[in-house]
Parts: sequence; structure tokens; C-alpha cells
Amino acid sequence: MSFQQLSKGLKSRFESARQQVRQWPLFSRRNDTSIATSVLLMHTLWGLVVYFFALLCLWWVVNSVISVNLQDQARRWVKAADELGVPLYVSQDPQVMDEIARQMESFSSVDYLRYYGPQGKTLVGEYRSIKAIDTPLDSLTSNEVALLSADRGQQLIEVDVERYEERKIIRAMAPVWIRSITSDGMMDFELQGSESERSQLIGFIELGVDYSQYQQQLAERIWQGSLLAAVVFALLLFLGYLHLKRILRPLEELQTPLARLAEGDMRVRVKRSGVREVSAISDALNSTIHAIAERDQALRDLANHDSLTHLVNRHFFTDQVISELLTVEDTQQTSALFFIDLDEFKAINDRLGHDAGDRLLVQVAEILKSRVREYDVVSRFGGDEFVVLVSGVGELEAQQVAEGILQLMEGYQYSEQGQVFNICCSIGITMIESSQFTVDELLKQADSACQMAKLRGRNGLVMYDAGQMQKQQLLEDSGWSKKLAAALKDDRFVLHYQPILDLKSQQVRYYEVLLRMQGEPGELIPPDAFLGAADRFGFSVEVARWVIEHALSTVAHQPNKTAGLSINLSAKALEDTQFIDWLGSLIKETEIEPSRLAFEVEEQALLNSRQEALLGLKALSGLGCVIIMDGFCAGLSASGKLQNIPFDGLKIQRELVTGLLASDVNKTLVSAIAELARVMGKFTIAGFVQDELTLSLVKEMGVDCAQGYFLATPNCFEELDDVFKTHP
Amino acid sequence: MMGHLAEKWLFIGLCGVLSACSQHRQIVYQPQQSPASSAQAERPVEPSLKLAVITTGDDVMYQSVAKYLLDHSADSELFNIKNGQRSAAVASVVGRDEYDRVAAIGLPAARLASEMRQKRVVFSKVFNHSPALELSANLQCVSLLPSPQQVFQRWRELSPTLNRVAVITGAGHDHLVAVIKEAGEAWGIHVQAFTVRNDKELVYVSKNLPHSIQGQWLMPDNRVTSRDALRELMGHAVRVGRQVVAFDDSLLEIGALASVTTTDRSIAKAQQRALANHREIKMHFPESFAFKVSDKAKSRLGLTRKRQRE
Repeated sequence: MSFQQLSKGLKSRFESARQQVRQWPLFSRRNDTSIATSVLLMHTLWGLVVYFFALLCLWWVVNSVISVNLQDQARRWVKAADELGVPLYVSQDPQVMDEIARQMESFSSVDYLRYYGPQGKTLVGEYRSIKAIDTPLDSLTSNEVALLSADRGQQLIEVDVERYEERKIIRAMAPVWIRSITSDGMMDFELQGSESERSQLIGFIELGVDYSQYQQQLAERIWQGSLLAAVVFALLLFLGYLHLKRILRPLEELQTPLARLAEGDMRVRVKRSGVREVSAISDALNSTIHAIAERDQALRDLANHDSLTHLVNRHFFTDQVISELLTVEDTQQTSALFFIDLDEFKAINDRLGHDAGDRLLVQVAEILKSRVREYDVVSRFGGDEFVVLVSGVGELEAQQVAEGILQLMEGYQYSEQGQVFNICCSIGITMIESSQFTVDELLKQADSACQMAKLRGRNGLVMYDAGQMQKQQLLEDSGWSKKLAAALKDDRFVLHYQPILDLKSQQVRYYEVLLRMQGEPGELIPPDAFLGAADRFGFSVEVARWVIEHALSTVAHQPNKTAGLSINLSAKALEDTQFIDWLGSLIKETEIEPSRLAFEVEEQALLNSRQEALLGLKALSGLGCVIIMDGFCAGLSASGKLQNIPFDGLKIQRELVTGLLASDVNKTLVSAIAELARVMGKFTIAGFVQDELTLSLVKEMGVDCAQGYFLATPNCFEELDDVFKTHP
Repeated sequence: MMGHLAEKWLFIGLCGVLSACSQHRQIVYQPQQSPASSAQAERPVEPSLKLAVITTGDDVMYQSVAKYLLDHSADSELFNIKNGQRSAAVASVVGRDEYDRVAAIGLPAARLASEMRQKRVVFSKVFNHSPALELSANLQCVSLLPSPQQVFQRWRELSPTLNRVAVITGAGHDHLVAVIKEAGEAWGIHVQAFTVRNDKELVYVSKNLPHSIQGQWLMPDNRVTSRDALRELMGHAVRVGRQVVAFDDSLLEIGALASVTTTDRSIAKAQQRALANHREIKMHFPESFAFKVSDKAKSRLGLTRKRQRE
């Protein structure tokens, strides 16, 4: 057998033993073993180890003590036998041995006793116990005789241990000397003197002590003791188990509140127990829950409010409108939605700067809040746009409220740097009468009415009229409809790609596919200009197909095989089951690895989408594609929908990233989103990174990927490498 | 005669001083009429010729006896055979008719003298004379032991209830044993004699003596004695509370009740007297001896109470 085979065999056996040990409850990696069982098993194991070790030590020590004592005893018995044997040596009469035997019978340990003649060969007398009947009779060896008689006149007692069959015998031997003083009459006798004495060897004594019976008795005692110890040990284990269970009960009681906490129930409170350590855990948990709840509330506040005006933000407002839609549906009451746009705000911003503009917005927010009721909702929608939800009002009352706002604004003067400005606004009103329209549609209605008010000369209000508005919209869209149809027909769309950089590996993870439309020669129309119209005229799915087809065709030529494509999808496309099926087939045809395809879906679109869109998203996820939630600002998290949506990554809302350096609130939000994603096991993308400071900040906050003009501008595919290579 | 008495008193005085220095009480006994000795009449010696004093070697204890004899005999001559050397020459000279008495000191000298059958020989400083020397009217000896009569007298004084004593010796001491028994009987003490062959047997017999035996008189029989045997014997005697009268003072340290020792001078005097007065006794005993008592042993054996009461 070669060394390798031997090594392999040993390794295999070791692995097998390891697996067997893993099956034992104590070493099992299953996490359903209770602490009490584990502790008791461990104690049992240690108890057994300690017990066997103690037993071994006890056996060894007691055996040694018995052996030494018996050897000493054997020496004493030899001396006694020496004295008893005097008449035997004097008379040389074997009958004397009977008396000696009678005396020796009282020593049960003495196996045999023999008296030899001066040569150590001739047996003068012998005694054997009943047990020693079979003990063979061996005369002393020449070596033994020589050794014992070497020191003349001295009774040297030699002791050794021998084994006769199953029995261990301690064998003691000694010479029998007689001595006399040399000087006649002992006239110069000195008791302590050194005058020599004559010595004469008259025989030898051999005595055997049965050592086995002591060992047997010891084994019996240990066995009895072990039984008793086992009973006591079992009793103690049982009592220990009960005690341990009692101690661990407070810990068990933590299970339910912890499970509720894991499910997100922040109302849970952990009861304090009588055990100090567990009470400390309970206190710590309660503190943690309280802190998390507070932080959660703070995050909600941050997520739901505009950091500048402290008005509710777009997400919260959208939720409120959704809620209002349900109320309206239930109560048959009507409510109104105002879209307010400040007139000439841009001029103030440009002349006095952004800070002045911000201060103006704050004051306007206060005016709006002062005019509406407490339960009406005022929100800043971005820039100088505000929206107001006025609940439980009819058209007339809504107009009265809007007029009130207009009057307040007319009376308001904004003074800054010694200049005074009269601030006016345009208000578009749409009535919420049923759940027929979505929030976006209602907002668009109010927005359209507001635009109409602006067109009518500003500082006025317009009530949304569907017929009038549609007519206006048709006028605006009719051009785009034709352009979109022509662009699809003539392939007048252009795709640009912008890298999304993995901040850890510094490698491109995805290229975001950005759509452009070719306008006049040399003109590229951005998507914001035509995607709305595409949606309204039902081109969105077709445009999506065009984008995906063309994007996938470029994948084959993509130099970076590890990077994927990130494609924007509308909610309408997701709702189209045929589109989803077509996409699945296309992925198979092109044999692209699905994980290299990421689809970005607007968080807002998901919020307002129907169930079909969610199913489409799940189907895409099922294909193995990556889902990125675009424009994320914790809106879904706050609405509790986040856990139902299959997504892999979050792209942080544009405004949060662009305002990162200026606002601590933005920093906190971005940091919280990164932490949220990390906890959920998702990755994050910070888009619109415009400078190095923002890049380092998002990196510091734990954002995984970044995208923006600072890193790379969108380019056609051919120019990608060169562009990206310019960045370190 | 006056000089003799002065010497005697001087000796007693010296012993007294010595006893004061010793931790044991020592009593030197003066010659006195013992119950047995009164029965034997001394027969004056006929006008003598010369006394031959044969000694063995230059041993001080032999020489001191020889000197005493020479000093106290008008016509005497000293011969030293020095362990067998010059034995024939000495035998030839002493064998002449001009010497009618021979004082032999030590066993070799005694053996030489015993062959001179025509002369009256008294030897001393020999314990184990048998079987080489068979005592007779012309071959007498001075025992190393003091008079048993006197010993028993002292012992009885010390232990009034003493009535059974053992004497253990080697072979060949029948005469001595008989004398001791007789002396014991005179004082109402039954002496039981045992003969042993070696030191082991001495110890064995001592340990197995009947409980009725209250005391043991240790004989200086070197043939059956070893130091270890003596220690063991004494140890046993102490354990069983047996009174032991020993032959050497050193045994008082290990439990003996008393020791009886004779001096060279007392032996010499006894020898001189035996040579001067012919008596039909085979064994003579020195009339003065030291009887040292161990206070510790006395106390242990409960022999002080009666005196205290008295």
C-alpha cells in the first residue's frame, strides 16, 4: 500500500468519523438544539471524561498504595515468620510446621510460606493457603540465594511481584541468620560497640502474598461506587436540567417578542425577567426597539417631507391622494387637487440666487398652509410647484379656497436685499369625484389646468375641463404622434450608453441604455420630450421593443463581457403580457445571459401601477433578469409595498444625489437607503454623480455603484471604451 | 591485714563516688555470710611451694587480675602465653614440682593449666569453660558472675514479690545453673532454666516464657547472644513487664531492671582466696560486685511504691 493510498484511507476514515460526530446532538450544527440540552450533554460528557480519568487515577493510586503496603506487610510477615520458624530450625521437625500453619491461617492474604535449608533448595517446612494449592513449588534460584546471602549477617528482604496464572503474588524472601558474639564471657561487651559477631546462615524464608484478591476487592468497590455515583450523577443531571430550564425560561420568553420584532412589529415590548443577565438583554432590546422605532419614525418623516419647506413631499402626497380616492369612492363626496406654480420665480432665482429662492419657497409654503384647513395636505412638488389636496369640497368651495390663496399671494410681498417683489401664482384645479383617474392622471389634469392659467395671463385659476384640455393636448401631441410613428418606421432612434461603475471593483457593472430621437440634422431630441406622447399614443411598448432589440444586438459586440445592459421600462410595457413573452423569447434567441440584463422601473410607476405590472416584473425576475427600482426615495418602503416587489437593486432618486452636498437631510436619506438595501441584500446605484466630492460621499455611505457625468457621459456604443477609459 | 581492709574500703569509696556520678544506683556488696556458703567449711592450705600465674596476652583485665595475685602471693611467678605462643615452654616450666598451684587467667591459660593434673588450678575470666574444661576438685574456677545468693538477695530486696525467675544459657552450664537454682531456692525463688543453641532461640524462648515468670537473669553467654537479639529480648521484656537482671550496665539503657557486674579486683580476690584456702567446691564467686538499678525501670515496673509507702 502506497503512502498516498494510506493517506487517502486515513482521510476517508477521519471524514467518516467526523460526520458521525456531527450526528451527535452536542456537535450537531442544527440550530434547533436547546441550550439546556446542550449544556447537559456537555456536562455529561465532561462528567464522564472526568469520572473515567479520576477512576484511572484512583485505580493507579490505590493499586500503588496497596502494592507498597502489601510489600511492607510482606516484610513484616517475613520477620514474623522468621521468629515463628525458630523451633522449626531448632528441631528440624516438620510437625512444628503445623503450629506455624495454624498461626498463618489467620492471615488470609498469605498465600504460602516456605522455610528452606541453608542452600535454599531443601524445603524444611511449607504452608499453603487453600487458594495456593496449585501454586507450583519452586526452590530459590541460585541468584536469589546469592543475593540474599550476600550481606553476611544482615536480613535482606527481597520483594518482587510475580504472576501465577490469574493471580498476582507478592513474593518476599529473606535469609535466616544466627549470630553470636565472639568474645567469651562478654567481659568487654558494649551494646553500641562495633565488636564483630559471628554469623551463620541456617536457611531461607519465602512468603507469598496474594495481591489479586485486593485488586478484585478494589474492582468490586469501584464498581459499587460507580453505580452509586451514576445514580447521584443522574439525579444531579435531572435537577440540573430542571434548574437550567428554570433559568432559561426568561430567555425562552424572549422568542415571541423577537419573532414579532423580526416581522417588523415595533410595538412589541420585551418583559423584564428576574434573571439579571436576561433582564439586561430585555432592557437592551427594549431600548433598541425604541431607538429603531424612533429612527423609523424619523426616516418616515424625512421620507415624507420636503427638507426645505417641511411640507409633505411628493410620495406622501401621492399616498394621501390615493387614500382620498378611496374615501371619495366610499363617501361619494368630492375633493379638489390644486396645482400651484409661482409666477416669475425663475426671475427671482436668477437675480437673487438660489438661497433667496429657497427662502421665498419657505414663505410661500407658510402662506399656503395658513390658508387651508389642518387636514388638507400641502406639498411641494419640486422647484416652484406646489400641490394642495383639499378634502370634502365641491367645485365652488374649491374655487373659493383657490381664490383665497390667490388673494393672500397678491397681498404678499417678498423683500430681499432691499428689493421688494410681488409674488403671484397660477392655480390649476381638478376635482376628485371618483377613482376613475389615477393619481398621475389627476396631477396631470391639475398641471394642465395650471398651464392653462399661466397661458391666460398668470395670477389666476383654471378649473380643469377634460374636453378643453384634451383638445389642447391633442394640438400639442399631434406632431409627436407623427414623429414617433416615423421614427419607429425609419429607425430614427439612437441609443446612447452610460456606464454604471461598481465602486468596489472599479469595473463597469452595467451600461444604461438611453434613447434619443434624431430631429433636425445634427439634433438629438431627449426622451423627456417624446416619451410622454409615446405613452399617450400607445407607442411605449413599441418603443421599448425597438430599444431592447437594438440594445441586445449590440451586446454581441460589447467588449466588456462582464458588464450588462440596464434598460428603462415603463409600467405599461410591464403590464403587456405579450411584451413579456416576446422578451423571454428574444433572450433565448440571442442567448444572452439573463443576469446581464437589468431593467430599470420607476418607483412612482410601480406605486401607481396595476397588478399586471407587478406580475410582469415577477416574470422578468423569473427569467433571471435584474430588476432595478429607479428614482428610489423610500416611498415604497414607507408604503409597505417594498417587500412584495421582486427587485435586485435601487437607483437612488436623482434629487437626493444632486443635492447631497448641500443637504444633511439628503445625506441621511442616501445613507439610510444604502443601509436599507444592505439589510435587504440589494445593491444601490447613485445616478447623476456630477463631481468628485459627491462620488466620494456616496462611496463612504456604502452605495455600491455610481453613474453620472463625472464618471462618464452617455455615448454611442462605438465611443464607449474611449470615453470610459478617460476616467481612472 | 590492715592494708587489705584499707584497700577494701578504698574500693568501696571509689564505687560510691562512681555511683554518684552514674544515673543508676550502684551498690557494692561486701562479702557476707550467705545461707549456702555457711555450710561449706574452708580447709587451710598446706604450706605451699610456688604459685604460677598464667595469663593470656596483655589484656588489661587479665593483667590486673594477675598483678593482684602476684602482689598478694609471697612466692609467685607470672607466665604469659600470649594467645598460644610459648604455651609449651610455659607448660614445661610450670609443670615442674616447684609450682604446686596454678592461677590461670583467660580461657587459653585455663586450658593449658588444666593439663597439669598434679597441680591445683584455679582459673578465672572464663564463662564458657565447658566442654573444654571439666571442673573438679583440682580444677576450680572463679565465676564471672557474683554470688547468686547475693544477687537474689538484692533482687528480692528490690522486688519482694519475686518468686519465679528464668535463666537461659547455652549448653554446658549445668553446674552454674544448679548453683543458681540452689541460691534461688534459698531465697524462695524458683529458677527455671532453659538451654538454647543460638541467639534466635534465645529470643524465641524469652518471648515464649510462661507468664508466671516474673524475672529473667541474663547470662553473658556469648555463644547464644547477639546485640540484635538482646535488643529484641529487652524490648519484649519491657512490653510484657518482665524484670531483667543483666550482665552489663549498658543494658540498663534498654530496659533492664538491674545489672550485676564484678570487677577484676573482686575476681582476683576470689581467685586468690580460692588458691589460698582449698575447698571442695568447683566454682567460686566474687564476693563483691556492683548492683546497679535503673530507676526508670523500677518506676515502670512499679517497684517504687512499697518503698514510698514505707
